[in-house]
Amino acid sequence: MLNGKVCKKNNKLLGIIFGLGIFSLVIGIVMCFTLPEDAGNYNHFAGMLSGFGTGILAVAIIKTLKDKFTSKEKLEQKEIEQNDERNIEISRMSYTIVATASYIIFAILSMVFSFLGYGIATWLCIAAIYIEVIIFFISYKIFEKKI
Amino acid sequence: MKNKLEIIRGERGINQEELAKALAVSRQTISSLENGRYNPSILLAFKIARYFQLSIEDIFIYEEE
Repeated sequence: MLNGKVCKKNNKLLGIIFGLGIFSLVIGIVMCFTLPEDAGNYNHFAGMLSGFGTGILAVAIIKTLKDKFTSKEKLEQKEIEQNDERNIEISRMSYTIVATASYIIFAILSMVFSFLGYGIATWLCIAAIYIEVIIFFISYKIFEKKI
Repeated sequence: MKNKLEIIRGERGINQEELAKALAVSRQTISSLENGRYNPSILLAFKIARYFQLSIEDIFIYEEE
């Protein structure tokens, strides 16, 4: 029998999404009302924050409602699917491909931006590659100690 | 790694769906195991062996490549 581990994990994740959504929405609204009209990029940022907050809040609400109206059998089946070791391995393999692809995409983008003369964008792409490499080494070291 | 899962399951008269439910895995996992496309973790191998009351070696056959 399943012990509901995945369900608890999902609820925790849903709670985090709710919290993040409300936080982002509140900050966005407060910024919208307090910033002067000529604040330029800050106004864009406030709009982005409130949009992001509304979006993920909507996702969390829809997910909660969907779970409430889904039968217990279907939820159990969903939990099995999420916990299934083959599905987990498939996800891991897919993530590995995504990570490799993102290195290549950032490298190509940095070359394209460099060719077009966008200095900041070029450096941001190169920084993203370095950050990915650093995250890889940190997580490798953590898992090396854990396993 | 080869396995006799399909044969053993057939002998016991259990379908893939029932076995999947008993092992808390998806039906596709059982299908992939039987086709030899997927090798189980040692935990799942133990679960399968325990379910059929056999040893792991009775079900899974290790082949050196």
